Order: sequence, then C-alpha cells, then structure tokens
Amino acid sequence: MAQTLDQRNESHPRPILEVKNLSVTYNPATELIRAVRGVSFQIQEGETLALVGETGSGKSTVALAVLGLLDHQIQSGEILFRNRGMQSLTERDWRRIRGRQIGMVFQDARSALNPVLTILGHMIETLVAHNAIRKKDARTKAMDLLREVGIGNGQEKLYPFELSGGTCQRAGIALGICNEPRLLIADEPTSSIDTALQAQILDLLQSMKQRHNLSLLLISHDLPLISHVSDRIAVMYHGRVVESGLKEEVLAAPAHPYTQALLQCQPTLQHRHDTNPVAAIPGAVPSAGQEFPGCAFAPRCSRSGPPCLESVPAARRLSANRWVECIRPGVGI
Amino acid sequence: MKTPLLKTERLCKEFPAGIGGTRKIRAVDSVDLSVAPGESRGIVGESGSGKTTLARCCLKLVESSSGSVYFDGQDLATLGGAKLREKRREFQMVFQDPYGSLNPAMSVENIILEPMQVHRYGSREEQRQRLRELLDAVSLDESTARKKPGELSGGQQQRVGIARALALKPRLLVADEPVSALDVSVQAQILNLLSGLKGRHSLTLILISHSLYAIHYLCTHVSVMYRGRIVEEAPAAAFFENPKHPYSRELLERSPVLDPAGRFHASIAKQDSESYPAALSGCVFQPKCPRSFAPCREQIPPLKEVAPGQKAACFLY
Repeated sequence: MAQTLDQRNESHPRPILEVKNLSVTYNPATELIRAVRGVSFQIQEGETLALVGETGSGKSTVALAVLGLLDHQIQSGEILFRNRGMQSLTERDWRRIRGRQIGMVFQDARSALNPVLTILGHMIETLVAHNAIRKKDARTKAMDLLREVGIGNGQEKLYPFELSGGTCQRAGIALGICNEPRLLIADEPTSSIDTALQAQILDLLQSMKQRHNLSLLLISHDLPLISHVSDRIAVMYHGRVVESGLKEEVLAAPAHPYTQALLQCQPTLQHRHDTNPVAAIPGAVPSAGQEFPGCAFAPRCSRSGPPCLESVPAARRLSANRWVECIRPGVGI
Repeated sequence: MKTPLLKTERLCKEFPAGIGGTRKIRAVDSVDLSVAPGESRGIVGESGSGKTTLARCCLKLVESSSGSVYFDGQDLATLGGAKLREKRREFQMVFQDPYGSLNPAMSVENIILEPMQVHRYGSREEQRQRLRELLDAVSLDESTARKKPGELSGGQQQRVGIARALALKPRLLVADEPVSALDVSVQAQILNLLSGLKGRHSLTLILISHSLYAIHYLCTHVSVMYRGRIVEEAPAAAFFENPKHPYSRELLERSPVLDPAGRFHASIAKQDSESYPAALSGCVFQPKCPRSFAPCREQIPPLKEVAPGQKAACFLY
C-alpha cells in the first residue's frame, strides 16, 4: 500500500511553486504600466522551468513577485509556495522564506554584491542572518560551499572588484544556495558573462541543483542555453505567457508564431548573410507600457489576421501540459 | 597583392594597473593584423582578450604603446591634428552600447548631422539630403529624425549609431559587438542591415564579437584573440571547417547549440583556472591547453601558416 502511494506521488509530483493568474501593474506618475498580465505556471519539485522572454516581457517582474519584493503593485492573482499562499505573509514570515527557502541569483553579479565585503564576508553574513550558527562554523561552511563552486586559493578573501565577472557569478550562486533553499530563482545568470564561461555557470547551476535537490526558475532570453538545462519552458511576450510546455515539445514543435520566429531568427553555423540569411522578426519589442486591443505580437506576426487585432487570444490547451495563446497556432517551424 | 586597407605591425597597448599603476597589463600584445579592402574581418575572443582595445588602437581612439598602424598604406603615427582628423572620415566605429554612445540631449537628426558639420561635408542642403539617404539606408522613418535617443528602442538606437558612422562615407567600418546589447528578435535585423550596407557601399568591415555565429554569418575572415594576442587567423570557411588552434577548437565546441533534446554535459564546461600567472614565458593559452607540451612553456609560438591561408600560433603545427 505504501508503495502504491509512493508511486502515485512520483507520477504526480507536487508543485513547489504555483503562480495563478498573476497581474502586476507599476504606477509611476505619468502612466500605468501593466508589466505582467495574467501569468500562470507551476514548478514541480526538482524541476527546472525556464521563463523565456525579451526586454519588457515581464519575466523579471514575475521573479520579484515570487520573492515577495512587490506588494501593492500586485493587482490580482495568487502565488503558492509549497501549497501556502504568500499574500498573507508578514514581513517577518518573508524573512524566513526569502534568502532561506527561496534563493536568488541576480543578473549582474558584481553589482549584486556589496563592494565593501569580501566574498567570504558575504557568505558568513548570509549564513549568520538566517541560521542559529556560530561565526566560526559559518566560516567553515562558507569555505566548503565556495570550494564547491570553484572559488578557493585565497580568492574568497578578495573583494568583488578584484574578481572577474565569472567568479562573481560563482559567488552569487554560492550565496543563492548557501541556506539550502528549496527553490532557486536565477535571473539571467549568464547574460553578463561570455560564452565560454556561460557553459561553466550553467553546469554549476545544474550540478548544484542535483546535489542540493533544488527546483529552479531560470529566467533568460537565450534559447540555446535554455535548451540544455530546462525541463519545461514558458515563453513570455508583453506580460503574458504565450506558450508553455515541455522543453522538447516547445523547441522542436513550437506552436506560437513568436516562439517560431524567435527560434528562426538566431543565426547558427548553417546561416550566412549571402547564402542562407536568417529571417529577422520585423518591428521592435513592445514596451511594457504599450497597450494592444488584441494579441500583442500581431503587428509583428506573419500569420496575423483581423481577428488577432481585436481581442486577446485565450489560452488553448494543445496537450496535457501544453498551452498556447494564439488563435492560429501552427505546430512546427 | 592589394595594399591592405588596415595593417598593424607589432601593435601593443599597455594599461597601468595595481596600486599607483606600478604593474602593467598588456591588453594588446604584438598584434599583426592585415585587412584587405572589401574584406569582412571578424575578431572573436572572450571578454578581456583585447578585441575592443585593438579596435580602438587601430582607429587612434587610444594611443598605442608601441607598434604601428597603417591605414591604406599610410602610417597613422605620422599624422597629427588636422591631417588625422581628415583621415578619420575614412574609418568609423559603431559602438556596443547603443544608448550610451548617443548624446541623450540631441535629436536623431542632429546626431547624424554632427559628423557632417564637423567635417564640413558639402552644403547644408547636401547634408540634409545625406541625412535622408542615411535614414532610408538604415530603415528609420523620417518621423524618428526629431526624436531623442531615449524615445527609441534598442534596435532603433543602434540604427542611428550605424547611420552616424556611415554619414561621411567611410571606407572602413568597425562594429564593436553591435548586437550583443539588443533583444534576440532584433539582432538579426541589425546583422542583415550590416550585410546589406556592406554590399551597397563597398565597405570594409571589422566585426568584433564574442559570438561565433554572428561572425560566421557576416565575415569572410576570422581572427581569434586570446589574452591580447592573435592565436589564429583564417578565411572564415577554413576556420569553421577546421580550426587549428586548440583555443579556437574550444571556442567552437563551447558555443551553445540549440538542441531540443539537449542535455548538459559537464565535459563542455571545464573548470576555469581563474588566476593566471602574472607573466607567462610561453604560449598565452598554455595553462589551459589540453595539448600543451614542453616547448609551450618556454617560448611564445609565432603566428605562422599551417594550412593554405590559415595561420595559427601553436607549436603543434
């Protein structure tokens, strides 16, 4: 009996994070900016969900909301972390979750670090703030973790400005996971470092994820990288998730014209300007403040027709876990 | 053989480092570069490898520490003041950060007109005419002309940067990571724009990028930089077919490929030995090279021909 229960749990893993119909509106003096417009997704235990999107698509805002760093900006929706609603939490409760149960790795590692603390100093500070731990023990633990991410030989005693971008990002990852969070949010963890190092940082994230049994919310615009590290993908455009599903399905048979165009417009070693040019997406990425009566991608879309401009397409289910917001979804490129 | 449009000889650039500038960092180390007219040269390398510094030295935006730069056969060191300024018409640069390289207080038209005014290009009417041509060439509509850079998208800003660089009809255009700050869906537009402009205006292009895909897309020749040195130089086809230098191979292997069934392999991500020894006696890549052997630690390998047209600085050949 116990066995069947276990099996059932395995086939229906519990979501560690559930975001339901989240809308976030920033309200500066001049205009109303609807950064997130009804976003829903789940992350199962041990899973990596990649949130893909370009500037202004709202992906970082989603991360801020999950971390409880937004408050009155959240217009509607629900965020459940381990089946617990997060809206009712007090700032005191949040302190036990943020940085402890939910870790964060920031985009620009160097500016996310305190310039007057050494890498080791950072680690000790973070450990002491969240755990009843003596400084001496915190130091030992910090050294172990830093060694795990490949920082050693005295580098831990250096300040952020003395280290390369790659090393700062390693330190950022060590800080993100030092309190053994259940969920790690990584916001463009590789976009400020170059290609050769990107592979290392992703590898590091992967191995940390396995070793520490993490679930990962990876925010990025880099599809080639995402194709190697994610289990599921949610593609965001102008504040909405326009397509989501298993990585293999979304990348091999994209259904939304935006996902398709995004996959087609990246040059590979098969493309050359004279013999095999890439198909660029016309137009520009809309800013979050822009409003469209219909589908936000319609003005740039090769398949759009009059109905696309009239109303926002509803989410359609293509298969069990596959959703697309398009009235003319086409499978394949 | 045609005179190269741009040629450098043992070009070096050192920057002071450490407390009080007591140490020196050699950002560009004895670079011999030769770019023929009409060529598209890609310069690839990781950040800190000296790509941008090399470009800035070539265009005399910074003074090199030693070595010479020849533009169309003429030593730029012999030119000063007005003469150099006149020469600058012929080589222009597109910068990496599209917003940061535009004056936020100026309108787009004034940004594009400014180089023509500085260099006294034609009459006022001719300048306006050229402005219209340029806006058209980079696919910006006339209404953008009165806007300020802050009102434009990243792609539009980069188009303004390109129009400004082309204003004086240069012969050489140096584009320093022209797409890396742009959104993915807009990058291809700018790459295709550069390709079209190059064809139409018989430009010689130097494209600096850390993306091998961008270089493969646009360039006829490739130079690979590592820690200030050029370690490989080859026609693009030969380079992508059969890279010779171990570093070039690593670069190609490590470039992420979109693969729907991709599973990350730890083997592509080797540990990085972050702390370089301050001074290396041998090959710059030797500490990380999987194939290094005794001579690599003792001598600097010269850049020499290892296959027709293909040069590598490596003792394996």
